[in-house]
Amino acid sequence: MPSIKNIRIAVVFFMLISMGCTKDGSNLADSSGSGTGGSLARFTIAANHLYLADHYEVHVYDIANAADPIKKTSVNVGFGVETIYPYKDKLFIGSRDGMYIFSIANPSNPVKLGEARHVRSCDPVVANDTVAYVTLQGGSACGPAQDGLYVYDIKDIVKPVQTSLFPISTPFGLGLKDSVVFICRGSSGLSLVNVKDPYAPELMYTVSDGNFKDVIPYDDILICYVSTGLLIYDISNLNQVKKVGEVIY
Amino acid sequence: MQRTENYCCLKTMRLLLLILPFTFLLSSCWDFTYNRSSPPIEPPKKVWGYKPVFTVDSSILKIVATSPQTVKNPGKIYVKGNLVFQNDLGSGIHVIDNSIPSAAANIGFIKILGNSEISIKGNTLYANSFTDLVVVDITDWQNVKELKRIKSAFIQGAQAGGYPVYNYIPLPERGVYYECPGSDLSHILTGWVKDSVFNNNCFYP
Repeated sequence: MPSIKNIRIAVVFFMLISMGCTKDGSNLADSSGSGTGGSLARFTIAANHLYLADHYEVHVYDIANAADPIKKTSVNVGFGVETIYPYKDKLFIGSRDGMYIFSIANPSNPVKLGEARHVRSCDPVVANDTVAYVTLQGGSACGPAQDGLYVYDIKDIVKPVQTSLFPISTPFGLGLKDSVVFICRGSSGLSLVNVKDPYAPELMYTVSDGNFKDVIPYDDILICYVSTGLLIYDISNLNQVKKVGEVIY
Repeated sequence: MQRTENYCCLKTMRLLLLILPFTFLLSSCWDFTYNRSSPPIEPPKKVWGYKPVFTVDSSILKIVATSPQTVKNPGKIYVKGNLVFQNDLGSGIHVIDNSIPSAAANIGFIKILGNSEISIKGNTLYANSFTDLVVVDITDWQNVKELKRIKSAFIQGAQAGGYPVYNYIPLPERGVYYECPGSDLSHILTGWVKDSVFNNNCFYP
């Protein structure tokens, strides 16, 4: 019996240690790593390669020698590419007609794995191991799609399956922390949506401190791009995020 | 035999009855006015709008660090360690010290004409200057150094023909006509000046 107790203590101890590691790792104390962009980014860095998302293509540069990027290839994607989001060995590309998933297992040569076509719209993407979240915004400049958070099951990466459409007006950029999606909604504020059940997202609440365009969840901090500049939130308690900073230029 | 025939016709009739109401529903989508003569096209009118300002002086493209600047057209964000970088559409990148979030402060600016995108690895910044990819050493971000410029690496909307030039140097207001600068970037776009333009020009929604 005492041995089981010891094992339990050891497990908890190791969990604590590993949590500590994750935190330190993502704090980027090590300056050789790359930083984190928002969901609206067209540039991203993964595995010593720089990816530039153009209107139709993704251009790939090897940046092993940081000062001297070497062009590797350009991959044709589709129509109206707008955003690129890296996750592990994959790139999620948001375009006006769909979400495209590329493998960068070979970073110099992205290969298309799967896609989910949708009605024309503006659509940034974020994802984790099993689910991809896309906000679609209809309207004159974007297309006729219904505004909302579109959730895709990507367990079978070659065949994303839409699990739900959560209607939410004027969505722009988005961010993911644990099972909460932050959705920027322009002058309508910033909405937090619980996505624990990808088939039934639930609106938690909306904060309206500004005209929100995009966010970067970063440990317990949320960096928000608003029409006037930057807002910073403490998101350690997702049930009650708190504005802690604001950049006055 | 007779029975089978009857059965067949009944089935067809049923099908027709099913389809008929839908045909009527769809008829509202048909444009019966197609053949009517369209109203005469009005000649273009002069309206207040914007004309592009160009320069041939390429020294304006030089990437330098400056004192903190006021925000004009806040753009995309990027986080690296305790620093937050925020693009200012068309002019460069604000550097924000976020080591104490409650006292986040704008501490400097990296001037990059035609900038909209940011990515950083180690102490190297990858950004765009119009359609060029620029590589900048930001080890000392108060004294940044341009390491490389790769021409036309990032074309954005240019290939599509409808070149959204306001992606690079935004117009001072929305909902205005502007003189389309074309896709020739041999001259460097630096800004916009209010002037009278024809309303058949480009439009910034």
